[in-house]
Amino acid sequence: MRLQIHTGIPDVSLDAVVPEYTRAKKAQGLSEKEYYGKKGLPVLWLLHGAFGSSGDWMRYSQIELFAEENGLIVACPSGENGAYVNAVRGAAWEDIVTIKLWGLVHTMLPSSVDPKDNFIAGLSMGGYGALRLGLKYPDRYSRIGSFSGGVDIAGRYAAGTFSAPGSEDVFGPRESVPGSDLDLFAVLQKRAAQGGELPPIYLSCGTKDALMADNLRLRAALEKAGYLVTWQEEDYGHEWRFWNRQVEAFIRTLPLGQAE
Amino acid sequence: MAYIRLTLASRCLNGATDVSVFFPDDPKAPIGSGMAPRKPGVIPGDAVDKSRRYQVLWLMHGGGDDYTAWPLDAMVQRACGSEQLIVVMPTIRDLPGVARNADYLSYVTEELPELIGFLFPISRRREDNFIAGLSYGGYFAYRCALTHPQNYACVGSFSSPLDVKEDVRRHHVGQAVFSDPDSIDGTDRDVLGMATKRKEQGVDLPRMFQTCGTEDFTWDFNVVARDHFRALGLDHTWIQRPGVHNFEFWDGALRQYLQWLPLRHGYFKEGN
Repeated sequence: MRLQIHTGIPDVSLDAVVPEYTRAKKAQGLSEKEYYGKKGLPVLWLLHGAFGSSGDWMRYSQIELFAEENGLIVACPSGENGAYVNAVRGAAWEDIVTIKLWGLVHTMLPSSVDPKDNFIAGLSMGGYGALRLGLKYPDRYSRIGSFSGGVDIAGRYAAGTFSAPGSEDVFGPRESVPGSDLDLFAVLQKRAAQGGELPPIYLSCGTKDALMADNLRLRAALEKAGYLVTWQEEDYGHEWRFWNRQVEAFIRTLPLGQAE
Repeated sequence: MAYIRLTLASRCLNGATDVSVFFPDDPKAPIGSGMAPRKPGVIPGDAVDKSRRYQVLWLMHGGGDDYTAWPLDAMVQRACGSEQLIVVMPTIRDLPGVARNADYLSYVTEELPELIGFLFPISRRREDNFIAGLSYGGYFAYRCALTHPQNYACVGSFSSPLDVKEDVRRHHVGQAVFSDPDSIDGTDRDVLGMATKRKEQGVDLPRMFQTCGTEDFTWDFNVVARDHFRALGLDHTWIQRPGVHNFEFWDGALRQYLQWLPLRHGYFKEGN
């Protein structure tokens, strides 16, 4: 079933899927009481790209079907064009996703709050957000997926080779970015240097996508730092047909069915 | 307070449908109060409490309306937002209850409690469950309460045709979505008859709340129903005041109902 949530947090919406007791489940011989008695479902946090909203994954992909088939809650936050960072001038999307929506989803829905059951993924700008938040917050997320991720948007912004309207408000002065926690290459090094278990990372990009070179660079950096990377490339551009395939493939790699 | 539009595939209805839900803010850490503190990389101790439970109001719209009717009224948002209460507002396409392909009574009294109880942290205990509605929705709420008295502690009707046979006779004869008034006799769609039957059976019935505006076109059916419940000696509260059949009246009716309900004014831990 689908939930469109006006959260009550200023400017923040959330779209979600919670697997329902469907006719298919009934056909499998599960009773309604038995099915709905089982709480603590795993959660996939799924981030949209630039120029989007919390409803994107519901509108352009089959995510509700994939969630139903896999017994997975999917939570899609809004993030505007804020790259899921705490903007220098603007909303604190990083705090909104990792603190406020984390609290809202786990207070409201039949989810597991265990990081082992919480996964984060996204497309394009959301791929950058998922990688960055997934690496920064080991007490939140245990698996990370990025599809056509804008994995070096901060680095390119600092180098002057990328700028979108509002980038200055999101990232701040260019000279402060390299090596900071906005720089994904620095974040992955920092996480690896901390020791402890590293999250498996699913990284994919279309072969016709202009972001391919940056994704290959990130893959190399991750592997060099000791991460286990699942790499997928397919004959697609920067487009929803690819992301719809990729989110399903990513879900297949998740350790599901372990929640109580 | 969060507002949720829920879209689901109902088995009782043989179709997809929508439900509005109000979900209260945490009174200790209001979600809606400003932005989070900026401490990069630091997550405050925000223990998520899975044992939290809320009282729940099942709130029905009037005939011909849908899940948006109550929440589109700003007064209702304020009235509910100040309570630590989950409010569930389904779409009821068959308030007279005559359709054969969609069982709204089972949907609201059986399927939805299981589904909402799975989805949200509502209390499943009778003492924490209340049902009410405006106009035909109040009639439907009484039908739910009298057929499933174990589900609800309280039931409310705001300007409702509880004497449904008389309402059908006067306003709906010949309309395809209503059945012949005489065919209602002795069925669970006859709420006055059901009240008598339950009383005779010695069933513990939900406490009843009934209100109507003195200029409402359903006024005289309301008086008939009131006198019937009084004659049966049921736990019944009657409130009348000037008003007609509109949201101006129902805003006040809902506030009065919320004040009358045994609300805890807070969530509580499961087991308490």
